[in-house]
Amino acid sequence: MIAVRDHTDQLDDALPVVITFADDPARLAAYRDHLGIGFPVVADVDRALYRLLGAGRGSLRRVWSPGTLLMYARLIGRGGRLSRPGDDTRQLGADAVVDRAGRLHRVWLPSGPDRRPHVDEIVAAVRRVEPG
Amino acid sequence: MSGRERVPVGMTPDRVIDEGHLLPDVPLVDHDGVPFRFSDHRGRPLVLILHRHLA
Repeated sequence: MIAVRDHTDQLDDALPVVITFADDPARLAAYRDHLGIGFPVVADVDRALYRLLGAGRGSLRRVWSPGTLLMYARLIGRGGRLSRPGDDTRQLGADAVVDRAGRLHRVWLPSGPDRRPHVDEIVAAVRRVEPG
Repeated sequence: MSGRERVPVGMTPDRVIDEGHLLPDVPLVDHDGVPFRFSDHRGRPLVLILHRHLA
């Protein structure tokens, strides 16, 4: 998400939308302010979109794989801070690009937190969407 | 390779839509507490980032 925030100039007129299943809008606003993002952060409390796209829950082994631990270690090494999550840590994420007509253009379903697509892949998918 | 091929083990979706299908509106609320509808944003691409949690 940070990578997308830092590459919005390459997304042309595409609108990034961060989806979470947190249920407190105040928490979303604080999170948005903390990260300094100018695009919407929305709550999918029932995880309807997660189910629709096929983003399920991973096994503990997959979610807390060596790759995930290394990813968090690098984040801390760069000065990042981790807080104790109050949400379901086994819920897997997903990334998707929707075209101008509202059709699902591309979806990524990473098998673990350390397998999210590189931002370049997302930018490339956005650029393959037909211009308006 | 499609991302669809990397479905995690243990995934139990109620329904899955595929690439090329219309993304329906689902109950979403934005950071201001206002309903967010995909259909309100037709005409521009969307990049959806489904987070795991707000850690």
